[in-house]
Amino acid sequence: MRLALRPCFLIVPALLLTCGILYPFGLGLYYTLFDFSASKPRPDMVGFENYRAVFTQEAFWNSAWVTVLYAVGAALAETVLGVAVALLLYRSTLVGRVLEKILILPLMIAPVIAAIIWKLMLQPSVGVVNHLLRPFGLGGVQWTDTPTGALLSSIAVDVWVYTPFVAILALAGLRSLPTSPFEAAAVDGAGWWYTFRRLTLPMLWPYVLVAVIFRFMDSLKVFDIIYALTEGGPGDSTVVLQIRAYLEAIRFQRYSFGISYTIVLWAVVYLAAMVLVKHLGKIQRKAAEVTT
Amino acid sequence: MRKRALGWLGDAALVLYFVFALFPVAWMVILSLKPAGQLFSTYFSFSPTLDGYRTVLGDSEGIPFVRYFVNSLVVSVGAVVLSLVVGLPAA
Repeated sequence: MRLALRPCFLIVPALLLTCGILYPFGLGLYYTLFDFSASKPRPDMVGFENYRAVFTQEAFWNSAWVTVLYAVGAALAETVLGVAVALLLYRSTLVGRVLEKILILPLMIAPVIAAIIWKLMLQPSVGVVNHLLRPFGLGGVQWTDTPTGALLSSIAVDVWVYTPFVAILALAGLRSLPTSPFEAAAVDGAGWWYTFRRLTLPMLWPYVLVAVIFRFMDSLKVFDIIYALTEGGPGDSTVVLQIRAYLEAIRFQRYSFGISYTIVLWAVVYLAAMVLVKHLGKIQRKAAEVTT
Repeated sequence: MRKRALGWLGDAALVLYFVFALFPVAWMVILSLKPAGQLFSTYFSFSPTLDGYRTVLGDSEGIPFVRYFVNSLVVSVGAVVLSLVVGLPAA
């Protein structure tokens, strides 16, 4: 009797967790079927009207486009830079061993703080970046004051904060690779480039892809960096979906409409995650083939 | 010889990345030590002062720093404990 009850007790926290996640989610989903807003405290059921409004709003398509640009740009740049840093650190030169100790520093700074310090540094007339660029004749760059510049600057801050994350994962992956294939390749006299392309890269891919999944999903949901750096401006140029949802729900106080935005964002993130995780399984199998 | 040169090049690239990664942190520390009047001067020479830290840690401006710190501590410890309690049996 006691043995039979034990699994039931063990499952209670997981059940609570599932309910704790599903209850607010379900409630949010339910609210999107109403026209709840500050001007209408007694909402009426409107069915899928909110979603229709989201998809017909021009601002939505602009936000969706900006979100995709931001997420792809940030995840891509972080992956390339992070893997490059990991490969350079893996050589364990004297410089590398010293610098490795402080690699994690940007990750320990809250993204909001990072965005604020970058905002100060990128300020066109009194920021230190333009001050340092002035001798090269580039003193007047309007970093966050042009649409393209604002988007690129937010991506740059994201890259600054999260590149160490990718680098640490890739470095851990590199250090856990089996040594025997490399020894065999060295015996066979394989060149550096051949070893890298045929051995290191395929075996490292699963680790890199895990980092990509984390970074891509996280940057689809970005809020803090952009809100602190540009507040979505100039104009609508850096209003990502999460910022749009915040503006609708909190600033314009159209609660139901704002929640609809977050639900749509959730669906996008969910789909992206599914595709990437499926891809991960494929790549893991491929990596296993290399070692055998 | 060629390998040696490549090694130096790699180290140089690493140093370049770390300048990018560490400069904002260094600038943050420098800014924190500057008096309010020099906040927007971008020169590296300045008259260092601990006024900023005195304002944050002292009681003169009514910033209850200890209170904020305890709040952070409660939130992070609470989150860790709760997720361990819920997550460990679930896994």
